Amino acid sequence: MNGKWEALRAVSETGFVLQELIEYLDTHPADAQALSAYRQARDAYEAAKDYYVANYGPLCAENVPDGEMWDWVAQPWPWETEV
Amino acid sequence: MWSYERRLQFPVKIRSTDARSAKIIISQLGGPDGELAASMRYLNQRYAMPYRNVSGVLTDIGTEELAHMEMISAIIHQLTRDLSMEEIKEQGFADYFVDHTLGIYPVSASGVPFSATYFQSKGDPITDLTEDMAAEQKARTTYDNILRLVDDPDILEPIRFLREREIVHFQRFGEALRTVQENLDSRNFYAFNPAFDTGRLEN
Repeated sequence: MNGKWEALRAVSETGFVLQELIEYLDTHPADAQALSAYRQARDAYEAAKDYYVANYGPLCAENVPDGEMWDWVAQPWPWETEV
Repeated sequence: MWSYERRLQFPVKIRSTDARSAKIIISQLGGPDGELAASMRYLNQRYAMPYRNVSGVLTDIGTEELAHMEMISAIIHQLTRDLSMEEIKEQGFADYFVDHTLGIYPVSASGVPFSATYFQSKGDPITDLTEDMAAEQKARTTYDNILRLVDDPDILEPIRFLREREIVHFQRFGEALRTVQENLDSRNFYAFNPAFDTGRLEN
């Protein structure tokens, strides 16, 4: 497994924790423990995304780096096997 | 509005093609209990929901179902990429191929195209949330059946993940239904539509 795959895995893992907490908080909006876990998960997810974007390319069309080329369409799509 | 993140919710990396498995799994894209029906069901039901936290559940789960749709499509794509004409014929894929080649089109395992009749948006929170709980169970059963029919570990891992999500979402919809029931007017013990009949219940 290469560094790109590992970095993407970190985004997936932190993103999954965040998704799970968001849905839980929808039905438990006053759960202090979940709110604190949400803040931690959000920070971990942002950090994992920032690391991935800085090293391997944009995850959103809004964070394409400055350059000569439109990087958004230069990268493989998630359903391609060489990601 | 929505924004797109260029990743699958859970990784899909399938090394060997298998058109037979693809034809089974495609039911979770375009079949009666698939991810497309799930996402359309929840996102369309949001507008008649009188409680903001329940609309939140529908929005966030409906959005996650879109990501599940993408995972299923990625599985089908990877299972059928670069198939030879011989493999297409031998693996029973000719009937799909003749209409769609190797493109992804939402059909059930028996080839019936996706239909909006697979879900309801009834404008009654109790009715809709009861349907949503059933829908999660039906999708879980379908994933159970897929797990009985498929044995490639590359396929099993993402399918197991999707199956677990059905269980969590069933739980969330159960909690949402409880919210609605707890908010029913004390006079409304026959649980008339709390999104429509409010103020019309005279006795």
